[in-house]
Amino acid sequence: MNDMVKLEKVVKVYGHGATEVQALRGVDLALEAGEFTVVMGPSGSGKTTLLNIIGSLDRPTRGRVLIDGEDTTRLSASSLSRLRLTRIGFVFQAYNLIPVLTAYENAEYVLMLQGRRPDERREKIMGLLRTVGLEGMENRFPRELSGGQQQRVAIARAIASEPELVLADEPTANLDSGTAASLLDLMAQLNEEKGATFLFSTHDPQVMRRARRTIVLHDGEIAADRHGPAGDE
Amino acid sequence: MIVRLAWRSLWRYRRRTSITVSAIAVGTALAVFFVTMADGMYKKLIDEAVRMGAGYVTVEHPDYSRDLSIGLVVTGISSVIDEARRIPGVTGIKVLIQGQAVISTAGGSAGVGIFGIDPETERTVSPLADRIVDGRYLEGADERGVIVGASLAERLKLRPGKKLVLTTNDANGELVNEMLRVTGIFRMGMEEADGFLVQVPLDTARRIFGIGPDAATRVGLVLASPRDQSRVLEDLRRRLAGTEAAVLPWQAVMPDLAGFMAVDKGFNYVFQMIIMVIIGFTILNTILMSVLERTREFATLMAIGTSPLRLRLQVAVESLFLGATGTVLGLLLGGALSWYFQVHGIDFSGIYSDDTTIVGYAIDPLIKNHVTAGAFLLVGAFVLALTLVIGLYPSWRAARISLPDVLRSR
Ligand SMILES: Nc1ncnc2c1ncn2[C@@H]1O[C@H](COP(=O)(O)OP(=O)(O)O)[C@@H](O)[C@H]1O
Ligand SMILES: [Mg+2]
Repeated sequence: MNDMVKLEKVVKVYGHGATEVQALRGVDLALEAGEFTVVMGPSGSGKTTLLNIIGSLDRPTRGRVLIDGEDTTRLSASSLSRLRLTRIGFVFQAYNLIPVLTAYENAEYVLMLQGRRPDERREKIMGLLRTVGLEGMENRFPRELSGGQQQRVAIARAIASEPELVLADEPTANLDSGTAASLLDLMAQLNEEKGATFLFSTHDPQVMRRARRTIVLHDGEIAADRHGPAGDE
Repeated sequence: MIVRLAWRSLWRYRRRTSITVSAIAVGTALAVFFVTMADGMYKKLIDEAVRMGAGYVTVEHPDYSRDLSIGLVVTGISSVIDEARRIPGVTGIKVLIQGQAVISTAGGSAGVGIFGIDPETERTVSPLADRIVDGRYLEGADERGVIVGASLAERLKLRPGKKLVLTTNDANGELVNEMLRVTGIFRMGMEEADGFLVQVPLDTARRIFGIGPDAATRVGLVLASPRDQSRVLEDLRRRLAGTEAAVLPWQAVMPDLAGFMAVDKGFNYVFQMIIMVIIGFTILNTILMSVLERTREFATLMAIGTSPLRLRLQVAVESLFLGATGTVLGLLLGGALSWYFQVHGIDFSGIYSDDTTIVGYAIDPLIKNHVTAGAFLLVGAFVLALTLVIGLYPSWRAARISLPDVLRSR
């Protein structure tokens, strides 16, 4: 039972009747703690759906999702929000920062929800923002930051509470390759130092090259699952 | 943090915030204005009726309200008056002898209600003394003087100086005739007074009805403020305990007017509610829009671990801010408006004809608002509660956003 994430025959169907779309067609998957895994596949192959279901933002139509052995499909909305708060960090393709909060406050928010002490929060977030290269920009609002800077804040937010699992859906899609590379370095470093489990979805070859395990989705099914980066074939 | 988020969100969406706050403020101001206007109207209406009649607090024979007989009088009125004078807030004391009679002239005859009054007191407390349209008001020396209403005068072809014969039964049941001379004609603007009421000096009434100098049908207390009514009533009841006299509020003496007030206040509140519901929809709409436009923000908050409850609280706090700001502004605005019209009055003479009456009591077309803390409290509490209730639905909606759909879209 040391699978961080376990999916059993997960099916996700959107709509019904003539408009029915099978986004996931019976996915079985296990991720161990500390993995650094990439999900690739063409657009519409179900990558986002898979990450949302693992992160409990969405419920599967059929099948089970276990996080650390606990079946999340049976949990209530408030238990799920607790689970996301304490154990999962999200990085979205569209950053999704809170517009009325500064860079610092966005990153701090989760720690605040967790009830950490203010001085502890301050130390943690200031250090983290320095690490992601945003020193001196703590008080800027999202609209005053570039896309790359916003995504850095989003990454800081996702990892601030040191979650066991970080889910990143095409995190580099809107970034230039230099910025993407430095953020990937950062996440790889966190993976090594803290042992956090990372699951990315991506089209970006630069991300694929870093993968220690590569899962290929095709039409809602796992077409390939192998160790090492994708570029080998 | 909830407060900080709510506060910043309101500033970020300044346009919508100002629309919502204005809607709440305007609604509150209107409500305050209408409530104080109605209060002013009631106050004036009651005040005039009470001053013309038997005061805010009335002393009469315990059986008089059941059987309006001339024989049922309060006795020992000089001590009643002495006691009443000692009560703070009493500005006038009316001694009344009331009876029924028939008056006859060459032009015909009519049944009337006679008020025996003290002309000096009446001049200071009753609006009737100011409504003389022909001749002059009574004076103490007018032993055979009588004041009649304009429509009665027209029917019986009376003018100042003309004579009339008044026929009635005295306190002993004897039929008596009295010759009187018209000194003045009044017009109150209501048929119940103008066509029915006649006033004679108190001593003349005593002589006609055979009522002794220390007795009267009623002793009426006019007060500086209607707010003193229950205190004065209690005080006088205590002072007159043990004597054979009933101490009554005006509501018991004029039950038809009191009943009208209650019904009309009810209608007025319903009207207020309708205004509030209309404004409520504006508020609901803007708050709901603000929730629906910020689905991404709310979805993100929930995705990173904000509980549904906390999110609802977040939206509710925003509504509370909007409601509180709007209510305070509205109370200030409505208070200022009401205060202005309390001082200057609004002239409704264009809307009401001269002789508009409410259950027989004339309403003056110049209406002054009456501002009270109670009106502010009532309206303020109601609006605030309304915004909170209205905020419930958007806050419930906020926590029901479909996370994957919202977060997926760009
Ligand atoms: N809410 C939805 N309603 C209907 N179809 C959807 C919905 N969300 C996703 N889909 C469909 O599910 C499939 C998988 O989508 P997605 O997981 O976003 O793929 P990817 O992230 O790999 O591009 C696509 O065909 C998409 O159109
Ligand atoms: Mg996708």
